[in-house]
Amino acid sequence: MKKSYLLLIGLLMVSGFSFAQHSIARLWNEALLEAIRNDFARPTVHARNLFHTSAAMYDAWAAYDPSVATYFLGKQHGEYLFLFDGIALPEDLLAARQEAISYACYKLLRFRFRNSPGWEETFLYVENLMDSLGYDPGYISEDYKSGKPAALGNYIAASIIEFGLQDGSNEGGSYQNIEYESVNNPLILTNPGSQNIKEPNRWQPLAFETFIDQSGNEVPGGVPSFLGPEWGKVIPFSLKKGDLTVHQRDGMECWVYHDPGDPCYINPESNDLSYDYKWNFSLVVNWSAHLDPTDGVLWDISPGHMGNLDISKFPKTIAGLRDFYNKLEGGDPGLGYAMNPKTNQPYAPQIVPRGDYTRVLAEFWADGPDSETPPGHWFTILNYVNDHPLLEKKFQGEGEILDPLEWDVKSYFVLGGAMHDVAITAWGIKGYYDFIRPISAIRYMADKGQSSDENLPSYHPDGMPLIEGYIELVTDTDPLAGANGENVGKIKVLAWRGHDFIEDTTDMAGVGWILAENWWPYQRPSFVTPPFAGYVSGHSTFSRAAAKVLTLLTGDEYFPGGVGEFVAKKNDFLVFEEGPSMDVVLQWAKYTDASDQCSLSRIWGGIHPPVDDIPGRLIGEKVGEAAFQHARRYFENKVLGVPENTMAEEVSIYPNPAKAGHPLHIKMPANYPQLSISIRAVNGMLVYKENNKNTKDKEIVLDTPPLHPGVYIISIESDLSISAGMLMVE
Amino acid sequence: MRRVVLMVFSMLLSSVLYAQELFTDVTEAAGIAHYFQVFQGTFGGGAAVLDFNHDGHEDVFIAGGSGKNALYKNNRNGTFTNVIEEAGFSDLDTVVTQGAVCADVNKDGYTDIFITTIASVNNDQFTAATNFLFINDGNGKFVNKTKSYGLNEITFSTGAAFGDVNKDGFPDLFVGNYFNKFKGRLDDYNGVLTEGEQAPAADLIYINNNGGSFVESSEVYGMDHTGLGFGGIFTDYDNDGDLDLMVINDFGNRATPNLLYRNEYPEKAFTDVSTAMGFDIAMNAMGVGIGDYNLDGWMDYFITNISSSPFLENQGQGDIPFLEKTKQLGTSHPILYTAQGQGVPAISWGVNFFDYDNDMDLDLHIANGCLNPSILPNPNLLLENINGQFVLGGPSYGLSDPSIGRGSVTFDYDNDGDLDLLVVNQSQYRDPGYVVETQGVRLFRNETAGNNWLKVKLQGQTADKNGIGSRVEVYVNGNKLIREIDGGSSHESQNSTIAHFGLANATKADSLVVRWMGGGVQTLYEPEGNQLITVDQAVITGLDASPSLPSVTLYPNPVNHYLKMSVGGFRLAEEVHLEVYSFQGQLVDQLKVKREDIEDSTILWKAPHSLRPGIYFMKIYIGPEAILRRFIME
Repeated sequence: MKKSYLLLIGLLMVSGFSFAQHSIARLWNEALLEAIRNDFARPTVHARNLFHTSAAMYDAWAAYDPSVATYFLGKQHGEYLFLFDGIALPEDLLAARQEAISYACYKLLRFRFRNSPGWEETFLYVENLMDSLGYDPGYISEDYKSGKPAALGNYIAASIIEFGLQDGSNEGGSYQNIEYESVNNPLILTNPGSQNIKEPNRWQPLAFETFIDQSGNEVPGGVPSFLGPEWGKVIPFSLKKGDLTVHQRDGMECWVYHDPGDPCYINPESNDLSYDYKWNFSLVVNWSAHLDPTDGVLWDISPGHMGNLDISKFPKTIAGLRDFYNKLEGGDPGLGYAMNPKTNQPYAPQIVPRGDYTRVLAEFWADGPDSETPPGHWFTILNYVNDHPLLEKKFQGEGEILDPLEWDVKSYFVLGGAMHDVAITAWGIKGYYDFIRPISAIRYMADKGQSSDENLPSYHPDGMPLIEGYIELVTDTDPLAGANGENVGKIKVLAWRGHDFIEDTTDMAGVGWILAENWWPYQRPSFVTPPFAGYVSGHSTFSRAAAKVLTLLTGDEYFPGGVGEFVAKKNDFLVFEEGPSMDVVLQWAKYTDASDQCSLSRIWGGIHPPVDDIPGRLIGEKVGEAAFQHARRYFENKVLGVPENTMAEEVSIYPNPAKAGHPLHIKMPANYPQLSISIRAVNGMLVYKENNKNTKDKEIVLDTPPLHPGVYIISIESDLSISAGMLMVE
Repeated sequence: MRRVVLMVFSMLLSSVLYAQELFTDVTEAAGIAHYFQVFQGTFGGGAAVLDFNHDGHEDVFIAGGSGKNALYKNNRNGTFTNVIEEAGFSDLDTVVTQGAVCADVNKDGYTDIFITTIASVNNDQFTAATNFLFINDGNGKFVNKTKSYGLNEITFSTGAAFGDVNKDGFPDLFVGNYFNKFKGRLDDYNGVLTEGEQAPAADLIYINNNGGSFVESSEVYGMDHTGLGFGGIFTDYDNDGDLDLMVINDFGNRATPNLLYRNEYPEKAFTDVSTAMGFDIAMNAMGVGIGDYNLDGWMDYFITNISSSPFLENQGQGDIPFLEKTKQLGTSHPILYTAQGQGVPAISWGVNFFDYDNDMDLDLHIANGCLNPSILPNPNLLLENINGQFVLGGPSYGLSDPSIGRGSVTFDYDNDGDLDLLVVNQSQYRDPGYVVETQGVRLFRNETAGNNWLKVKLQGQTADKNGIGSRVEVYVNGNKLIREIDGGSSHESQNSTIAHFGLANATKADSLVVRWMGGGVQTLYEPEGNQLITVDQAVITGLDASPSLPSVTLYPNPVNHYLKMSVGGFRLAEEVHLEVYSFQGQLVDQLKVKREDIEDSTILWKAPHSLRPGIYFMKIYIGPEAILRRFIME
């Protein structure tokens, strides 16, 4: 074992990654990201894994610092109370924290990733990491009062595991849906068209293969069901009850935070009202015609010519989207920056074929199989920023430089909280609106025909809008007409031609005319479109929230040095076809430039129309801000208890420490009826309970029972929420 | 973003061990080499656990389909020897067997074997055949007594079950049939015919006539359904002390859904309560597991299916319909994932409730297997009961064999106190045209350790010899654990007839109660854990006379009307103070006793009539310190 340990260190140095440079939190964050890559591509599940692991690390760090508030330990979240008596401060603080963090992560990761397809690699990875750090993975005691940091780590993990089995994620049921059923039959990808989709405004599952059932029928096999339509019910980080709307749909209760309202629908009553639906989805077809580097279109993709959008000028209505996106040529109104403010030099131009830029974008931000998924991708960007020599690790860019562990622990905690809240918000919206994806909508419209001219063939009000040179009818002289003219009158589109034109990865499908019923998004054939509704875009929401967090955390809108970049190597970077035709360097000045670009990548990637995008960005901005401010309260030890609602933040109790038998005042932000108040000893035993208390002048006065001196947990519950906090009794 | 950095860890150090699997595949080491040879692509098979030579080491009979059957004798050293040839089963050589169930039908002290068949075969020609009853002669030989016992009806049979329906102490027999009769080829068969020879068949109930013969009595009992049956189970779902009958059917949506017959004992009659109890689910039912997963004293049922399998939670009181809770409980897995992460539709067959980790609650094993010959990997599942929810254990548990699984049984073959698993796997019927690895029957040794356990073997006298259908209850740490001795369940199979209980960290149980099917209750107080207790119906067992000191012994637990506390080992305070709390922590009763009023070091507390059944706590202020104990009100 000793030998391999040395070997390992040697190799890590060679690979530019060594323990000396990185905190223990970073090592475990990398382990988690690797575990995510070895797992199914599930953004919701992994946003939660990222948050819970980050919070576990934060608590294992914060438990040893009385001046900050722990997140789980000693707090109540939902109905789960994390019992904690505090812990004695060790002599070697750093060693204790490293040990506690390691055991917490080791145990949590092994539990959360035990069903991964790549579980063996993940288990080996964490086993090796423990070994190389000199920790015994066989140590399983959870008795943190023993003072052993490993036991604290185990206790934190065990508590989070138990908490996670009742937090609304249905982790115990392998995260499967309890109520949601898709209203549409699956689209079998080997067949053309939308296959008689019943509800063209609702999500349609995709069937990747078929199998023969016991009775010899061909039935769709392995149809991935909607991932996370009930995720709105998961216990969040900073989302507030005031942000929540509870809807009913198809007999299912849908929890929607930051409800953006309806997207655009096919309206059977009115062709006019269907306009935006057709505009949005036909735009996705038009943008897919940009995915050919040989079309002669060259773009300068440097920050000198791209980005620098002002969120206050984002469209606020669906009709407003028409001015924001360039439907036929692609791109947004961003004009870039005259100067890099860090160097006072202009950004160097970078001229590349549009078809390379768009394909690299679609691949870079695909975040599907074998990736760390969108929330994990932003952790890699955070790590990239953290590694940047020009970054000063000052919280919000002010005060002292934090040591690497504190910086990592805090930055993961904030970003994890934000990503978890985004998943809950975006997937709550996805589950409720259940909005269709481009592959189904485009093929649906194509199945109907064209909606531009009643006098032309194949007219139907729900059909494709014709655009000469982009979307046309197949005529009898068309090469697509078919041997017997069977395709005459169908819709053809100028688009990326799809996987039928790729035999191996050195081929390139290119752009050309294809039947719209065969239109494919620019994605891997194994992951044609992620298995959940489009509205709102998870990528847009995650990315905007993450960009906001990075901005607030570093106190700077700009990447260190005024530019962040990623190099996509010529004929190497693209996964399923040849390309890019030259090296393409993705560059961003501000964090929000990266997130805005990520949003557009999903349109070129063929899986989101504009109407999915902008609401996601606007929500992401809010969620990122709220998560950051919420996390800061823990760092500043200003947390009473659970952030379940506005109440929790503004409840104050006095006197605290309280005197047993004397009145206890609880001040509330507003008047609430029918509150129930309970006081528990730290071992969970109920010592006081009072139901149906009403506030008077935003205050409740309790006659406390004759409690023994010590620490208690006081919970204040309304029918909507619970807040809890520590109460000291003298 | 694509994979970056740090792969170095996993690439280089493959020598590092990770924690041991919970189950180890020991099939080859144990000397088991057997396939269920599937006949024309469909049907079968099962296995049954028995101790045919009475040596205290359980053996197993495994059906062989159109191939050889196997009787694996336990060699008491972790290995088995197939003794099918010398044991006298040659009459099975020309038939296609399905499953097996065992009971001592003539009560001579030796367990006999009943084997279902679908056909006899000559030159690939298909003729319907009888089932088989082999009587154990006590010397390692079995004798075919099918005809003399009146079981020689020609049927296309699948699953069977033993149970003492009329409580006369002799095991009766239910036989599930699929087709009325079948002609042609099974691999040509598509879908369901409702008429003629491929129509759904009637099932049979054979009443045991004093151990000498069986009399088919479905008419007497009012059982007149037909269905594409995969058998059924005897179980006391309504806790009224007799065995009811659950019948499971394939293609319930096109033929007959599942059926529940309530036993109207002492009348010789069944009442069909399928609809009233919410049991009439139309599905592709393949097998049933029985177990009280939520420790409420009522049996719950898991019925295997294609795609999602229903979990029926018993609502108690006997007449409230079952609640189907598979999605809520985490047992719905319509898509299984292979080791490579490929999603494949689940087809579930065998199922076993068992406490694999001895932590008191029942976990769930599901044996999955694709259809033949279009073979897709269909890994088995182990679902761990965590606070009443079934959490999928990963492939690291060692039970994810993707072969063509069918029946599955639990037993403690190595007598180490935890339950092992045997899964019957089919052979590949035809080359599917692509490479797919499948294995034969698998034996998985349970490697968990640490928690305490208790095994209970019943020896009936007036009741069934092995106690089939009897209830065994263990009270421990305020929990009531119940088991029914299995007479046939899972898919065409039968688990061990030895009841197994995990005791977690308790070194002994508060009490052990046997409710014999056929009358009588025996109670044993404070049985020590980590042992096999044989409860003989003829021997009266009673209170443990010498409670260990110093401790407060509460008895009887569960409580009916009163509770006694033996406090002999303590230096008592002037006044001993008792407080009784409900599970919610509410004070419901209290009692103060002066030291001089305590006789025989025993305090008697009478339970108020107002107390509802459930879990309570008693706080006993004996001296300066209080002692807290849990008990159960019945």
